[in-house]
Amino acid sequence: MTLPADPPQDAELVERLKTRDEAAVETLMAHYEARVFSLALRLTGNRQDAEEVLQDVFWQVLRHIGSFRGESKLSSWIYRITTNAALMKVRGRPGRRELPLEEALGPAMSPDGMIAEAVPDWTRLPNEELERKELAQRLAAAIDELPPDYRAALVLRDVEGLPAAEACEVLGLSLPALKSRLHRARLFLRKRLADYVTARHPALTRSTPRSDDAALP
Amino acid sequence: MLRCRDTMSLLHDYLEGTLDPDLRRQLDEHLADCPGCLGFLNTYRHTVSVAGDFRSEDIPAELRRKLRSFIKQKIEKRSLLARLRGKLRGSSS
Repeated sequence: MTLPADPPQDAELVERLKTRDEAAVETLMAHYEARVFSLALRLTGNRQDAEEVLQDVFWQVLRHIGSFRGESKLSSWIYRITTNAALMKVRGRPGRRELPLEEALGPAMSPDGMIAEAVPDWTRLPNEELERKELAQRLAAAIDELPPDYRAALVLRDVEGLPAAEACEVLGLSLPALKSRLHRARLFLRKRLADYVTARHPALTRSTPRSDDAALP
Repeated sequence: MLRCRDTMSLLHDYLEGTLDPDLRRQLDEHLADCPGCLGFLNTYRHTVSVAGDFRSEDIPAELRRKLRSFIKQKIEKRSLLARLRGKLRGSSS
């Protein structure tokens, strides 16, 4: 029987890292470097910054490993150091500080609270008319527009796929606060994609599908 | 009866699967009857799904090398400093 190589057991790895065990340092980097780089790249939106964050994070982890008490998972601690280091890079940049309110990011509503405009559902378009790659390009630009706190919530949850509880721990947020930021960030990105698709396929806003042929979730 | 305005704030929990069962049933009924909200849900969900494409499990080999040489240098510098401090303490006592 072979035991799984990943993930390394936190407690044992941490103890070995405290003695600067070379093999442990390599295990740490091999296991976390791609995740740290991926997170840093999407948070900073810039390769050069992400490279600096990568090096900075591992050196911080090794320098401060003596103070790691194991109250959170090692991965959460590393994500937190990465998020803080990456957000330091972007906080000084000019850009949005707030997002529009939820109501402004959804469809126009009638006074009685019903949708008052056609909602372009691009998921109904055939692949050859709208490529996923094309949408991904627009989405990357829109993520870079998000204010840092919203970007962090979205990247941790939707890009890196962290469970909500872990994302809360990394960001020091309550579950409702995380949910609120994530939802608004998603609404903003959805709107950016909707505006792009509508400009390219104006017919989508004219052809609201009948309910009986709409695909149910 | 749910209105479209109510559905917007339920999308997060709906996708998460954490919506109260009764509310979920009401939302399902609304979606079956409201192409606008269904289109909104589909595109909201698709946005989340495309964001997942950015997740990368890879790191360029050149970056892996740079990281290792950076960390090695830092550790060596630190242990050299520690040795020097030790010697200084030894010679001053």
